[in-house]
Amino acid sequence: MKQPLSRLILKSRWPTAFLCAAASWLLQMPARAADRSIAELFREAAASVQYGGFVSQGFLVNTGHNDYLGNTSAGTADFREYGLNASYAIGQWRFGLQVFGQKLGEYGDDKLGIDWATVDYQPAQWFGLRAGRVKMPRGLYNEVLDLDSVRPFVLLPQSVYDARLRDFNAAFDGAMIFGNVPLKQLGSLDYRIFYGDIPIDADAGANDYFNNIFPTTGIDIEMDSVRGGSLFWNTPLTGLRTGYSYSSFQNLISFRQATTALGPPPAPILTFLGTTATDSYDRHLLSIEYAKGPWVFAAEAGREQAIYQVHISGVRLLDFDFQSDQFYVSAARRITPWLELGTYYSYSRNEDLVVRSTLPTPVSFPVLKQHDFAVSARFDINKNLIFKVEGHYLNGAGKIFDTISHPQHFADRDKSWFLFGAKVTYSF
Amino acid sequence: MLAGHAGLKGQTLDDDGVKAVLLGKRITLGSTRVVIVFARQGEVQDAFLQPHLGMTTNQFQNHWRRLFMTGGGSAPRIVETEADARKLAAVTPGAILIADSAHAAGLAILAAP
Repeated sequence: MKQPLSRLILKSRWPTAFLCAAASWLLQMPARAADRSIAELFREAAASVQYGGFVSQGFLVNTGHNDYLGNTSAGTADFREYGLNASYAIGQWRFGLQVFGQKLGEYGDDKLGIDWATVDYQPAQWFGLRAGRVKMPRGLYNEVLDLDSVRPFVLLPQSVYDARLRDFNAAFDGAMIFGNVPLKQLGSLDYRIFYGDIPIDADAGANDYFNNIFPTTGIDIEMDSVRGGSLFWNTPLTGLRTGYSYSSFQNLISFRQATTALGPPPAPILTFLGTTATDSYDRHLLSIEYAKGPWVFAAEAGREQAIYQVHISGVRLLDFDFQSDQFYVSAARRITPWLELGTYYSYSRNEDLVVRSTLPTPVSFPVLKQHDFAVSARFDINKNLIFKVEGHYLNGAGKIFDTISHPQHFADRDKSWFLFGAKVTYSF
Repeated sequence: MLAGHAGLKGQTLDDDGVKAVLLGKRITLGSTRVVIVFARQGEVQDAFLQPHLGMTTNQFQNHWRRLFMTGGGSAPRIVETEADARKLAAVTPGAILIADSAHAAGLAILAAP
């Protein structure tokens, strides 16, 4: 989740959490300073701050006329991410922050914002508390969406990790408890439980996603809260872990605007204000990963559900039952210190079933499916620089967005197409 | 074996403890915060990581990169060689490292090979 700094400071709760924790830590300073000067403590602290960062630039192009992740039919270099972070740890406390920017087609727009900013207090292996802007625990890879250096793929399987929904998926403002519970011969359990909210910009990809079947102009999108967690079992078989993730967005609502002319100019233009809203948008994800020697195998299957109500100018137009099913299976193998290969098959299916309508004529929506077969190669040029190439064969075009600014009606899309991607990443 | 700064003398770890500390799930030994010291490449490390964690050196570094870059942990201190790791661990309170017993003089032994 990325927000402009000014908005974040004004609207978020994370500065309060951050300042409370920092004050708590400072109150303990006199005891620590008993045998060392304040200046010495600060010098020591400054030297202990850790820094990290990355910058990546990619290129995407596909056959046919679908525009998938930006203007990909013509080829686009609007595909980059960059981040810089710093953190400091002492005793059971840790403080950290990352500034992040990206561009993916029309999303991101190279605006810098806070990606994560957290205060950690972990008094025991089985219990810790993290507050601020926190990476959302979801499945195997949601917390590392931007980390090219930890995988061979240019694009993560898009059925589960849709790059256009980063603002919706990456992080939340709130708090999380977490820990690792040893189970002796049975391995151990990693748990995380969180609560917070996600401020989303009206021009974010999430707004287009939630209104894909009603392409109108997005004005705002908001929710009351997000809650959820994950439970992962690190099995006794070394390298094998499996888990379940759940998240629920309460009172998710997007505000839309549509206009229609009553006739040719100078006839007046009518503007309608509408909403698409759901009490609860629920997401479930089952995950399994097995790492053995140079191999890493992974599979995840998920379902997302919501009952939406569509209002236009105060009139309840229709209700529809949304269900999205996602699945992928992947394998990657390190061949040499400079080469890693990977492949995956990814599938998604979205269905919107009208359950109540006040419209004079029946309404139905197409089932949106997409199969994606990908093959990737990663080249480690040196310890900081990597280069990746990737080819996709896509069958179906269910994940293409149909928006006011870029209409791509379902019936007009290419159903069988190839996508090529390349990306270079420098990280430190 | 897993060794550490002399200030950690008296601490011992079983297999689960070794795994928990090296994977960042347990962040303190006694009241001291753990600082993992790791060589960019090293035969002793490779030989230790595979049976204890089921990871290659590359996978271990990726694991920590995932934690560090997402606000989930403090990164290990990376040095070029295992000899450099021993030198750094000797002067860093809370430091732990993978070492062979022949080169662990002056370090606390936390877990046998």
